[in-house]
Amino acid sequence: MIEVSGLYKRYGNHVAVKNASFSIKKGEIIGFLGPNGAGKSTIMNILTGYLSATQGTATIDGFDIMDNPLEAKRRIGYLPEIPPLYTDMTVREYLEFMYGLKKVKLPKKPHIDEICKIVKIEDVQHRLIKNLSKGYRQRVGIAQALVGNPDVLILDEPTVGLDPKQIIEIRNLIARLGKTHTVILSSHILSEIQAVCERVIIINRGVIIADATPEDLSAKLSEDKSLVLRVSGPESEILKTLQTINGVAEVESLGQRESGTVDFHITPKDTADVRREIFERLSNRNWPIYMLTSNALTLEQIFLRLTEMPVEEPETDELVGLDNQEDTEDSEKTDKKESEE
Amino acid sequence: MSAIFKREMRAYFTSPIGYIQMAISFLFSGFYFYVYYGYGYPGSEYITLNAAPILMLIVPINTMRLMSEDKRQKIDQALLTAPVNIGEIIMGKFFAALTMLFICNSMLIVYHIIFSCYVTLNWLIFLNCFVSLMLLCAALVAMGMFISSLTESTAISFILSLFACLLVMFFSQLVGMIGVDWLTKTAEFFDFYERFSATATGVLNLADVVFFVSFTAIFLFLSMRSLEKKRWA
Repeated sequence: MIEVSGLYKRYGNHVAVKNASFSIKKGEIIGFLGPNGAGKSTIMNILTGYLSATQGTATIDGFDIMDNPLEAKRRIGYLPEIPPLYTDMTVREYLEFMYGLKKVKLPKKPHIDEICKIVKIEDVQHRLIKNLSKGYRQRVGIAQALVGNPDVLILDEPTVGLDPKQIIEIRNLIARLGKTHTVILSSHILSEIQAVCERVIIINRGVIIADATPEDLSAKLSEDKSLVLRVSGPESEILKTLQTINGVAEVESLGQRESGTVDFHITPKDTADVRREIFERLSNRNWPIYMLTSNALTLEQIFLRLTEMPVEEPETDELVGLDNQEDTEDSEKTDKKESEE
Repeated sequence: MSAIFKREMRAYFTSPIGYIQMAISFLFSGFYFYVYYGYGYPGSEYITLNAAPILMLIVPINTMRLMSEDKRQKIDQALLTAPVNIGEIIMGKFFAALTMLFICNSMLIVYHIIFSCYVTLNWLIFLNCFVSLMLLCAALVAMGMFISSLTESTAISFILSLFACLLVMFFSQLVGMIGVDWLTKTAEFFDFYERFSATATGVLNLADVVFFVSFTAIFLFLSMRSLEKKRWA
């Protein structure tokens, strides 16, 4: 549905997007993740034809956004970071304006009624946009993107500035829209991406540094297979018991974090799954387990790790993928070790 | 194009801007009507001629927010990502602004009708004068629109347009005082009011028509470039 290859955007000496390439299939929900100023909005603006790329191509459903902008734009509904609203119009008037602007062929009244129903703005249809709350304005922004029923929805930080209840509502809305549309949304809120998106593209300083499902990302990056255990019982005895378990490489007591319990950090040998064994041993001794979690990285930690890495020079033509990142990370670690020594 | 035209027309009448333009315009043309009527002289083309300089004030009010407001409220993002040509956006706005000025000037037609109730008048002379006035309006609007597209601030847009209108309307008179020959000649060539007032006598000079039309076209083109510039920045 969307093909982007070798995209560059330069502002004088400043490079906002470096060699971005990715493709998005029909019906996917993609999350652009990255710190502020990473280039998420720039890529979105290029995809929607608001900005031109210095180099590279972007095609929507086979139509190049530069060579065939009208056809490409017809397939896109765009919600920019700041919803583009004529605040002196009522919601209905504004949606009718967008309907006219986009030259939509669908029957007018039912189409707009349907959109209002989907984004739940039926009650405020006849109010002036300037009198609406931020949450409603955001919804009107999404509604205008939906006018004409485009195949692709590009939403730039759709939940920014909303209260938690509204965030959940908008998120559910996006998930619902994702069933019938291809959706790209950007965010710097990780849980949002995790909750809604099937695939994450992490962007930092203009470079795509990762492109995978949230699960793959955590699996790839967390070499750490260790577990954290919380048990109620005598610390030293538990420690001894745990150490005797076959497959456990290392056990470390983390001390008391909840009254009456002790926390342990367990590192299993390579691929061993020691959870069942831990349970059986501890239950035999009548030491109740309060918690047993994997210490795998959350998306948040992955994000921090990835974005704190030094970005490769833009001259490297190949896509900077996960594998390269791991290499740099490793070399970074050895550097650190050396300096410590 | 029609969506943008409708939206802009609506914007004039849901804010005071449209009414202010009409009020100023009606006040001035009404004043001259009163004077000519009082003297018993049915010179509706002279009313037009006298009322034209006030366009210097009306046009900047008319065009000040035409493009700058979109930029300020980031609506240009919706316009530029919608499946429309930039030309359509510009022409929609241009025709809305011109229609607004037509409404302002329409009172002149009413005066002419009132005069013609008393005496038999030559409609062609008046029509010639009115068309010239609209050509003048078109040229000033195109220029004002271009200026509006350069800034996000309606205030700056207004002041710059006011200055630009003053310049093109009375350029030769200002420059005439300096007394440099070639400069005066150049200024006379660009003097809008001179060109416009020539037609008020009833002679539609093709050169003047071409001048106004090409001036309008150039500034409409520049406005398009200015709007599109964003993409290439």
